[in-house]
Amino acid sequence: MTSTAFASNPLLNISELRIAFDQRGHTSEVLHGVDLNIAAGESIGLVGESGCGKSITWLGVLGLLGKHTHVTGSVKFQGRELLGLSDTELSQIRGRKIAMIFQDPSSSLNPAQRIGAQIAESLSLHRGLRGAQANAEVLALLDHVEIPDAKRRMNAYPHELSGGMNQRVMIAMALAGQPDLLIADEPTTALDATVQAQILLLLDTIRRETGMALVTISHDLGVISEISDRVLVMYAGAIVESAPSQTLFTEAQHPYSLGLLAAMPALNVEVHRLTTIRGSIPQVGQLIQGCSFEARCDFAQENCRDRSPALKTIAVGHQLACTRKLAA
Amino acid sequence: MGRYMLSRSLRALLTIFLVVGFAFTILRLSGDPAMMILSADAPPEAIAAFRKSWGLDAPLWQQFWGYLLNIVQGNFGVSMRDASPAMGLVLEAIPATLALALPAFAMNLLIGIPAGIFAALHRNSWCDRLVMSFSVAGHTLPSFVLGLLLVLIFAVSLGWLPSGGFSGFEHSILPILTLTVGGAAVLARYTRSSMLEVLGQPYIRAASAKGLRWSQVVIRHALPNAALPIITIAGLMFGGLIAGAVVVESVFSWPGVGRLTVSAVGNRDLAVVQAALLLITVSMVATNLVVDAIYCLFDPRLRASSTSHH
Amino acid sequence: MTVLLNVEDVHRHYSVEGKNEWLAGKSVLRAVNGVTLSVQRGKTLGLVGESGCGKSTMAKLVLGLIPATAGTVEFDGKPVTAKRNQAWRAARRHMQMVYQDPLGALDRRLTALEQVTEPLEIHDKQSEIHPTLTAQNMMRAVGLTDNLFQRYPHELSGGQRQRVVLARALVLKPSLLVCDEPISALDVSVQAQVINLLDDLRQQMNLTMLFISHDLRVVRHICDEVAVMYLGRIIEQGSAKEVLTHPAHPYTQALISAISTPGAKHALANSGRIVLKGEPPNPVNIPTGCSFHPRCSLATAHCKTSAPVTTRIGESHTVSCHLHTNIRHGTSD
Repeated sequence: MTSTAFASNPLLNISELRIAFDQRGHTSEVLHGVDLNIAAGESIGLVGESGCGKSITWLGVLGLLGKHTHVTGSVKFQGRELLGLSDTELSQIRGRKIAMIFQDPSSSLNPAQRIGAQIAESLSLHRGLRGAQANAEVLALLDHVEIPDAKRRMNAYPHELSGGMNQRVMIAMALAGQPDLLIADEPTTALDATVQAQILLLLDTIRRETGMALVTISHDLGVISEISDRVLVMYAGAIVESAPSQTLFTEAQHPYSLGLLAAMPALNVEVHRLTTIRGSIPQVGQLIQGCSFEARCDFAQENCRDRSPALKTIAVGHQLACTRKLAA
Repeated sequence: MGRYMLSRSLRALLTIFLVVGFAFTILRLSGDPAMMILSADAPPEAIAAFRKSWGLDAPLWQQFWGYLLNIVQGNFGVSMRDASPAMGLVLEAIPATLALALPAFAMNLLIGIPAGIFAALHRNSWCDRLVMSFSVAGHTLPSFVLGLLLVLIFAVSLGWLPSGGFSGFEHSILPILTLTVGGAAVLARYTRSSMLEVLGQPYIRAASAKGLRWSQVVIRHALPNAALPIITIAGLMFGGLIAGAVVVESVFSWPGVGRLTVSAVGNRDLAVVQAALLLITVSMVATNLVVDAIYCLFDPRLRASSTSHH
Repeated sequence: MTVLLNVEDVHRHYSVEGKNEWLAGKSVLRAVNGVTLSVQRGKTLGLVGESGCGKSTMAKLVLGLIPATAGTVEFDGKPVTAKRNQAWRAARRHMQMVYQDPLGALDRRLTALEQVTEPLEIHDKQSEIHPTLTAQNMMRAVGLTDNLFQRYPHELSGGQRQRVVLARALVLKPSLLVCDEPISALDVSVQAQVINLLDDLRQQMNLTMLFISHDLRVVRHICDEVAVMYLGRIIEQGSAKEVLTHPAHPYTQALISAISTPGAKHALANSGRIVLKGEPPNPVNIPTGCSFHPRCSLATAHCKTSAPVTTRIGESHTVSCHLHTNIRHGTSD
């Protein structure tokens, strides 16, 4: 499907992943068949707006979606199928093999527990460290994520630390299990611009040092382009384009990708009017005949409404789901 | 923490003062004790003499001031009926009230809290709806109706338990049961909503993502955070139980503080009513203070900012 | 060109309980610590900065929602006080605000049309035109279709809600519009629509705007002038084009450098990006001298002891930095 580097032995292989929610009697599908592969040590980015499914995909992979959801398809991690595993079996993979950090770090930490204890919990759970050994490792992790004055900060509560600090704590907690894959869900969205720069640099450095794979989820194309080697653009529950970072930004093909790229010009470019994508995002779970982007697309043709376009390879490493462009 | 507790304590004293003052005023304005105790067709001179001997002819503020001075010296007055010390009568009634309050409180906790947690963990399932239906029923049924129903079933029809009185353990079963149903129902409801609120927080999902099993997430992360509001409610309930479950004690002829207060009010036995009220207020306020202190100790966010400025 | 909004050396302080509860230690939180700015009629001033810089406090001071501890705020020549009296309420029709969270800014129990009609019923009782008609016209002008008029806020999308907020704010034709992060809660594809809309309305209604945002690119696009705030003070100010292409203050440079540009050809580690030390500090503990010195890689001993004065370095460009002559350069393209 993609380049030969990982065709043989991907770290993670997701195939035809569909997620549906039960809501008041009827079932609505919110993710419509996602395929993707991640190689060991690779950094990919998922970009899209609300309802596109970029976060739900990973909550589904880790089994964090709760009772009234149907997750179908196949998710193979290091060769092992994850869908269908019990909660107990999955809990051995969460944190230990696949870790996840969330958007608002301050509310993702237990407000009634000191941060040192929360990191120590991961250490005890995944590496069996306790007592003085655990404390030493907590300090080491806090240093690693560049939290100054770690000895004192260890005993702080989350509300005593800033958003940026809390995000570092979350990263430290995620690293405690020494995972092979880290999923970062909007890691910088809730943070100030100057702190955002620090956190991105930290994530990138850690990834290179530990060799773990990184999935970055964001609505900000700029953030993704900095930290990811490969970018997947999602819209309304499906991947519409996937390409290496550089290729996407110079040779994007999907009208939605182009729209996102044009939405906010760089500082040194002066425009009179911002290019917009007309209309709005479809309701989550809404059934759409044909291409889900058709209603907002300036290039829509008659046959775009016939069926939903499948993701096809158009160049090495570059995939696209667009009826019009693929017709040629 | 220190300043927090100091301000709370001062407010507590003010509350006691206001309650006692209010009761004092109302009692004297709402009916003539002399007529109640001496009976309506006593001669006017006897009534006047009675009022004078009890200081009831003095202006209200003077009576209140005298009362405060007496309290500070430990003199709570005597009963108008039999001249025995008012506070003594009240203190005698306390063990009976505690004999109901303590077991009922324990049962409230043991039944109400687990029921609420269970309902929250199985939200919207039939178990949840069943538990909540019981909770609503227990909550809305007035305690005297429940008490009388229980008497009807267990004392009158089945004859298993006595309908009132104080002479043995089996006499306390029905009143404790009555108190438990209402209390556990309230506690179950509050526990469920507190748990649900906590379970909806981002850090619960983050804890699962860390690799904790669901039981570990609930015990280590959900329960400690849900506990605080539950402690408040439980504390307030305890205060209420101590205040003497007036209705239940009356239904079951249980000689506790509640029944004493009711009969003293009916008789306009001022000193006894005031002594009882003072005790009840102090216990309610003390319970509140303890709850505040617990909250302060266990919620790290409160500890950092002892008083808010806005 | 007349000046519509004039702010002179305004301060806003809060007393905060100290961390040590046993002592009576009170500290002062200086949210706004001496800000002077003015906006001419029909122009847009952008206020940028990170958390703790005081920009949201400035919005409230300008609108008279909170009183200033010191200094003056003048709107259209008249002082703005925070007393909620008749005069204050009457002034609402001339100055309005658009908020960050559109759902929170709308009353959940009123339909969209009712929200927009309400200001007319309060201020425009004598008008011959029925308020509903005026409201409907305004709603169409902001791009809401007729079928949305009777919807409740929770039935609208984020972009639609923000349009309702805009319609409500503009229906009385105010002269000043304060926008506090109006698009940050919206999806990217909708942000551009709302920005274009704001731009159009601004021109049509000759609006004066105070635009508060953390996103420098939006500010560059829509604002004539920009003021960069840090810890309650303006550290650089001037025309948007000038300040954002030739920033003179190290903090402004860091903010610009922090912008992630899609497709930029650099690996993170070697990007030449300015990564500041530490975090936006707490306005309770303002550092001595230049308040930026703890995070500034160029700070000298002088910066630690003496506060810089505001120096004019261009036609309308001012900066507060001891070292501005040494470091002034353009951003790399």
